[in-house]
Amino acid sequence: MVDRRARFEEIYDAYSGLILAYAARRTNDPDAALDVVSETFMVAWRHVEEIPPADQARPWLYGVARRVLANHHRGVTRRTRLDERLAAELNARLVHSVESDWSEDRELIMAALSALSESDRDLLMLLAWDGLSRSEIAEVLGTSIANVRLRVHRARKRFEGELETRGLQRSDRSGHEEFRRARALHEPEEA
Amino acid sequence: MPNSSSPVDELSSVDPVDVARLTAAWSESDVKQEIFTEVTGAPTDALTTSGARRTGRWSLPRVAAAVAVTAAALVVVQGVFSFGDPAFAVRELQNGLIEVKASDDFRNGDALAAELRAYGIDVEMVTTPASPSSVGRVAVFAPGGGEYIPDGLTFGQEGTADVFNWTIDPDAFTETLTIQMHVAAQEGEPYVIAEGVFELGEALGGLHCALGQPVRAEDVQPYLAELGITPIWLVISPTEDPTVIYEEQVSDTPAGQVMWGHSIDATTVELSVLPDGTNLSADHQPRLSDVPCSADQAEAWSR
Repeated sequence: MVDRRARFEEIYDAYSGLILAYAARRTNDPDAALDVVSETFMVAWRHVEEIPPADQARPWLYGVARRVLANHHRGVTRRTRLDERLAAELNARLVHSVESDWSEDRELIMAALSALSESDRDLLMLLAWDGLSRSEIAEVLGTSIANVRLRVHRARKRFEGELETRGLQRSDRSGHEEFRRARALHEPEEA
Repeated sequence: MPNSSSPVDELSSVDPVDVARLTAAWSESDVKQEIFTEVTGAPTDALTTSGARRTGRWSLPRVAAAVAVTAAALVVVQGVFSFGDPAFAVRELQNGLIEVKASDDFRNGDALAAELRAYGIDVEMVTTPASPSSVGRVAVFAPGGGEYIPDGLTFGQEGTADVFNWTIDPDAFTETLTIQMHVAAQEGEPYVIAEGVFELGEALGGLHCALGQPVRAEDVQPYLAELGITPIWLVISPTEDPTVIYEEQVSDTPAGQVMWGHSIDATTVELSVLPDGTNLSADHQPRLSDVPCSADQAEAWSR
């Protein structure tokens, strides 16, 4: 029992912050995000013997959090004390500071993301925001890496199309593809 | 605009969460300890049986462990049943549970779904065009996805024919269960599920065994031409983030190593090639097949 608790504590310390970040990105309510953390680790506590070792615990937990989030029903738990700093971080997440000169692009990128299917969005967010590798995403989604590669490829293409639709167009620079705002398409040329 | 190298980088640049700040606040928050105490204070037995939703982990079938599963699949069984006459039986047991016994791959899914609906159970049957080696697999999705058996649903022994013997508690099971069947694609229809193209049963199954590894793109090209398969060549390049690569389509057969590939449809394959002189991190190793090469596989490609 001691080993079980120690193992869980180690996992909780290592990953609860990341699971909170995962939930915060996908909910609009700090309490809901905390509920997802609570429910995810409730499952982890019950299945602690099944949690893979080392870094493999991470995708396992994301897989659980993903299911918890999908089934989450609001209003179950209200934290009695949401301390000021944590509340501020959770509430401020959508106004996360950005450089002013590309804040407009940010809106366009978010709009492009919103235009994708839930499946594409989920995949790209796991990749870009949660920083999971393709093999970890395969673990989270319960699929093969080959399938993840296929789906990522298609999702990226669709995202690329949505970006271009919004005037963020790709240009080739120094051998790297990059997206640049095609201002000329939307803004008059300077006199 | 941030200097970025792919659409994914674009997305990374607008992450709404500052992870470093959030995790720092979390580490120092009383709520972190509050949740820890709440979770670990609950007995594990009680967690198993209490609450509105009982969850149970559904491990992958051992018999069919080699199969790839679709997203959020609960269970996948391959090759357990033939594609003979579809057959199933649904009946209500004395204790009120609904028993389903099926002896096919649920291709007659609409009929089964209709019968279950008569018992007040909402089951959705979905067919998914799949590449050849995936055809015949069945995936069961819980509400919301995930690897958890929804309340009120039990399966037989995983990895055996019994997995299609279910009991459903109509009082407890109130959500839609989705059963996805992987079926052969129609002519010209793209695959929704595709295994690696070098996996056994796929268009280039085992070719890497005959060619020897690493597999060169220019060595694969003649086989594609002979098979009447159109390649889509993607050239891989690393990015500043070692976990992220960028793939760009090119028109000519690139000089380099084929890292992975899959079929788009019956006559089109997409192959990703690492150009000569380019290195990737350990996150991106060649992945051609899960099955070790054998002499038989190589021999099958001898001309």
